[in-house]
Amino acid sequence: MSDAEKQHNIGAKMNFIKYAAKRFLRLILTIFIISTIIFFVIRVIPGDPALVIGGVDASPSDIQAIRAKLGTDRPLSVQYVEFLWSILRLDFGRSMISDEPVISLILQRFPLTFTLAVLGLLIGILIAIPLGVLSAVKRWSGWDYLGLVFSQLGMAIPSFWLGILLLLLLAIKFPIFPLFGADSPAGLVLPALSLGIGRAAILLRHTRASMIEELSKEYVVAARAKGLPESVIRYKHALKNALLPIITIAGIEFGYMLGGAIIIEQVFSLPGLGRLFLYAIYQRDFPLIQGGVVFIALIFSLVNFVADMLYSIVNPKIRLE
Amino acid sequence: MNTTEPIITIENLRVEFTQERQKAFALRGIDIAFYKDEIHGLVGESGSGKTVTAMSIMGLLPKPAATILSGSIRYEGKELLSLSEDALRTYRGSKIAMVFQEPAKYLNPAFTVGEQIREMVMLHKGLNKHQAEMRARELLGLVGLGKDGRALGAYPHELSSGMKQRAMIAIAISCDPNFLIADEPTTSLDVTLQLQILKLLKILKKMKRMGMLFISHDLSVIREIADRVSVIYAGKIVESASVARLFEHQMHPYTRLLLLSIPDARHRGKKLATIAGQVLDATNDPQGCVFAPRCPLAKELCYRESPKLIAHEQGHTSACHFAEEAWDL
Repeated sequence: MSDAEKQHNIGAKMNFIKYAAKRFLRLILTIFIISTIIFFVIRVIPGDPALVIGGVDASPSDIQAIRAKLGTDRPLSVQYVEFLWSILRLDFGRSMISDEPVISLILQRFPLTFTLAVLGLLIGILIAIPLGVLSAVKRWSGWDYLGLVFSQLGMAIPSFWLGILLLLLLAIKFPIFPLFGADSPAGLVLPALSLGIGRAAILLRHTRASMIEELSKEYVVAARAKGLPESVIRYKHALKNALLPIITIAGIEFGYMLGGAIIIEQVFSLPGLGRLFLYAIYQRDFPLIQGGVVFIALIFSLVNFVADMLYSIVNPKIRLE
Repeated sequence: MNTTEPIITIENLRVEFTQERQKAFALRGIDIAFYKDEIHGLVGESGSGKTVTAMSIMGLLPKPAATILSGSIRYEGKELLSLSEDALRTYRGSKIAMVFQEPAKYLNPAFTVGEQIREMVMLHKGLNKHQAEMRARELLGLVGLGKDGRALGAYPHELSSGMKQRAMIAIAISCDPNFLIADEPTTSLDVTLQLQILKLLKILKKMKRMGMLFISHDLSVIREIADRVSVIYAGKIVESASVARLFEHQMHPYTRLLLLSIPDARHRGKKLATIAGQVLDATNDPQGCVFAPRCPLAKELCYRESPKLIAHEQGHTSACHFAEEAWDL
């Protein structure tokens, strides 16, 4: 690489850093807004957590003591500032039910949910991108119809139903995979499949549409005029452009799986985040609900931040905009 | 007159487009020859078949919409129309290259200019990465994008429109083609940039002794750059001559009317001439001259018989029954 090109790259790097910083500020702002909404929503909901904890037999002085312990007896503004400060320290308080710190409860469950989401995304991408590209390149061929049928079914079938079917077939009829639990990696295969197939269906449609659009662009004609082989035109020139919107969509899908695997975790009895929050809601465990929502928002924003960064690495145009 | 063998010869090329079961005649039998070291301007209105001619030479007519009905396109005597797609690809880019109208659209936004040059010389010239890099740098210097190679790492959107067009020219000439097709390369640029690009193309032609097909709808641009001009109307070449001769003496009424419709300081105050009527419908396949319905001189013969492109003195060809007659419009 020449000095001039290096210099150019330094300029591009500066742009990238500026862009990343801007996106990061946006992330902080998002977290702040969501935290604020959560804080007030929880306090607007009728019912005093102190009454729930104290139970029907508690005397007014007991209730007062619980309030003092929870900090709900102080002015709202003080509570709000304290709440924001605690989020900065990732301290979401203690569960009202188990008295364990909320953050450690979340972190215990997070690896499983994260693994599940990564596997789901991986399955989604591995199915969607090759099949989507093939569908676009060989339009109205057998591959295209296969892709079409797959994406229709994948979007129409609810993931929990698919999960149950997979369990019936591959855990009961042919007991290849365990029926429930995540004691072994094999236990994650079926839940990841049930999650991934639905994601694949959506990604597939976007990949196909994006690829078809790119293949109709003028630069493809120019690439042909350069004498490049069709494979290079498709898989280098068009694909790189076609993948741009897919990265963003994959990021959103991934975030969705991190927060939205509740039903799948229920179907497969997996001790993930979804189930933790589900029980927190059943039991009115306010600190856990509050911490959970903020945590999901945080993860979702982080994932989108990473997707944006990836997007700008693949598409340098975005950094300037 | 050019006595050497042409680089590219097109004979009786007929191309038809089918769209929604409607047949359209894009080229109705074109004869044209391109020589080394000569810029051949092709001028005509939109839809007259300029780009179709270019794309036919490149072998890049849209499939399956376009069908070549008949004719021949030869590169140094070798028939291109009978070549397989793979064989044709070895010509594209390396022997015959093309510069397009809108560089912003025809450059790939996701790759640096350097990469878009490198991939081409690596493919056609078999250069390694380092050699390709050197070659790319040299080319950028040649087209006026700086000798320091700064533009190598630039993405198309980081360049101005004039620089983009220079980059596209660098890509096109990267493999030293014998023949360059420039399809309205200056139409999307403003006037000062237009002149710069025209100048660059002229210099490159002289330097590389390339043949060039320069497509434009603008006769003043053609006059600026071309050595020879062919006028195309409704998929037919109606007249062809050297630039000097054509602007002085026209042997087809269409060319004359086209020239009269250009604003000229000498005719200040006069009403600008227009050509009455509309361009021949592409679905129409008349027996006679394609220009007859709009021609003020058209006689019965013109509707009955299609005039052939006939050579007159000084290599001046015209497809008009009354080319030799003195007429005034």
